[in-house]
Amino acid sequence: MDGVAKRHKRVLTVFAFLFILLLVFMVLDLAQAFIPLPFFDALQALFGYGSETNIIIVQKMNMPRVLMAILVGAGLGIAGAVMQAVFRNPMASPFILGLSSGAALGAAIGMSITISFIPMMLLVPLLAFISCMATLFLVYSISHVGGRVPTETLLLAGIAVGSFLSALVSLLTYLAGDQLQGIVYWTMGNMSNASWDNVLIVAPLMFAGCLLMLSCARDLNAMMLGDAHALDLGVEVKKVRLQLLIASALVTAAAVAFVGVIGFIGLVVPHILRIAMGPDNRALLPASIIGGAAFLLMCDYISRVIAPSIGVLPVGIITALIGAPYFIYLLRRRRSEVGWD
Amino acid sequence: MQKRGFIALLAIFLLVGSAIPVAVGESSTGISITDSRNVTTNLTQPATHVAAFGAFATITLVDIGYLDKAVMFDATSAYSKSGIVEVQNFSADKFVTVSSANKDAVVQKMLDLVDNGTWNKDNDVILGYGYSYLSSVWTALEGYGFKVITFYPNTYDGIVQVVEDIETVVGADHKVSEQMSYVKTFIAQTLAEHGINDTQKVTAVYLSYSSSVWKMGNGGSVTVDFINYAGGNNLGNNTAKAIPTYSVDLTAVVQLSPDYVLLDGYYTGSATDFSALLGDSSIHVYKLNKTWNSYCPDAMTGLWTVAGLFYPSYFEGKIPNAPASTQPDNTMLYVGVGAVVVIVAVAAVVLMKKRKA
Repeated sequence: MDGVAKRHKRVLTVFAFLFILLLVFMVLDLAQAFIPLPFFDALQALFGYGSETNIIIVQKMNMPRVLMAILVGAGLGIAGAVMQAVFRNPMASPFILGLSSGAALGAAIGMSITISFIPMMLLVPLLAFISCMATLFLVYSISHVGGRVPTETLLLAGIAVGSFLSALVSLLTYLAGDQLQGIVYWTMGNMSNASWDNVLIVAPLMFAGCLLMLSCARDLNAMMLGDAHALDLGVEVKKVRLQLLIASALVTAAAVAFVGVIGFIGLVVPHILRIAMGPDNRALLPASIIGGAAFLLMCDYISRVIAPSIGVLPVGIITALIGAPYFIYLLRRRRSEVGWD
Repeated sequence: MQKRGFIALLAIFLLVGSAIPVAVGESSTGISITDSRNVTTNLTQPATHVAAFGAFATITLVDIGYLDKAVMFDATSAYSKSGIVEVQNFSADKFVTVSSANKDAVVQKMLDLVDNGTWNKDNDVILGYGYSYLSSVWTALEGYGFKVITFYPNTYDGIVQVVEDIETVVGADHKVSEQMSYVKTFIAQTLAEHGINDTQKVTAVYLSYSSSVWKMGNGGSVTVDFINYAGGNNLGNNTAKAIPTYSVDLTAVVQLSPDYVLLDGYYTGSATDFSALLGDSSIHVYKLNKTWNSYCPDAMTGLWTVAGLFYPSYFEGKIPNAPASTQPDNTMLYVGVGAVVVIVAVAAVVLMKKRKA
């Protein structure tokens, strides 16, 4: 009982910390401008007070970007936690099934063609989304052997398909030359062009995907013990796994469609939270939502302040610069120390 | 004896008389141009043929009236890509994609021109961009003995120099480049006459959008020159940054609050779309024409248009024509010197005959 109460207290503390972190970085990121606004001026402008210029900057220009960062970070955070649980592999991430390569291929095709009735601003995210989902379908089909989908086969198929699609992107880039210069920046991730229209498209997809994943948290706990144990506990392993893969692919596709590939959120955030609050997915999944959002907000803020002489850096660079060293640290830690057992 | 002396005297006068025009003529027909790679190309006379490996070169040749000298073009000069009407009916074999991946094909096309007698390597010139990613193409061509002149200006004056160099290469007069310089001078003089000082100048910024990143013009670019030479004050100038453009987000425009935003011609939306993005109707947005910051006389149109945008009451209507060139005409010099020689020779003959008599 004492141990349970202690664990509950720790979980609540982590949630409180994550919320505060989210709110602080939300205001800091809203305050970012050519000439950064003071923290409290940004807070005032958020509620419609202060100068007209500050209100335009905070509510019209920065708010879509900040909301997009929250949605994307939340989606990638929970997708990462789900992938790690489904594959029972601490190295898993939302892009492990080649989804990032699939999305990049769709974006590259969108940048090199024109369809008269679809504006370019919508064509690239649309094709990125479709391509991402198609990649999941392809990887799943390849892995489906004898009525079963072994996780190891799924992983390997994801790596193979991802490599193939990356090669196609490289080929397109080579053939198209200057026309596809933008794909390089797209693969680095960029929050700066988020608009209210983008937020309105992404939000429902994120909510739906996250809700579906949260509803499977208890089953996911069982699946982490192994398929056989999960089946014994009454979990429809194959069905739940497929649901979770589709939901995480949906969320990942929605995330990358408008902002490009932003890596390491789904890898790093669930791990840090697992160390802090344990592996129970009933707490870990919602915490990954908030943690992922806070982490991406923090990285977006850093990308805007770290190199003032250059300007705004692609946010994917910052997430990688923070995530990769942690990934190396992870490789040197034992599974039990990262809360896996 | 006297007869021999007279003949010697006459011969000396004629020799001196012919040497002067030749000496004057040599300094005006020899051509030496140092390009953007610091490579110097020397020609004994204007090129008979050129290859226009850049739409800028094609447009310039059209504007100076020497398009017929161009025997090969790069693919971007084709009408379907550039909109240059004068090349609309040119056959496809006159165009080649100029890129490092295609350099062998470029070399082969040029060698074919040599083989069929169209191209003279000693006197014909290839005109191209000075971009670093094309350096392998130029190196390959020069390896086969072709003369290549590359251009990579980043100022309005640099573009004027490009046009002047192309005029020199093909043997055109310098009317177009002089006109480009005149427009800049005319604008500056007019503003000075009306007492427009720094505090009265309109404010502007230049914005471009590339690879999903907004960039603001700092200094050292043609469009920023448009702002400065058209009598504007570039609010995007940041001396702490040593780069011609730097990435920003749109809060920069709202906070700097310029009178005008000059939007790059390659932005896919319209000026109205951009105004809606800004949400500040007090800032006027003008989308530039794509060719105005190209290395061709269109830059003059861009400068005049921007000046008219900033000060419509001073710069409206057509571009004013430059006054007639004041450069000395060497032909009259030759005639004058020759006439003096003939007169002196005749006078010497008459004098000697009188003495004999």
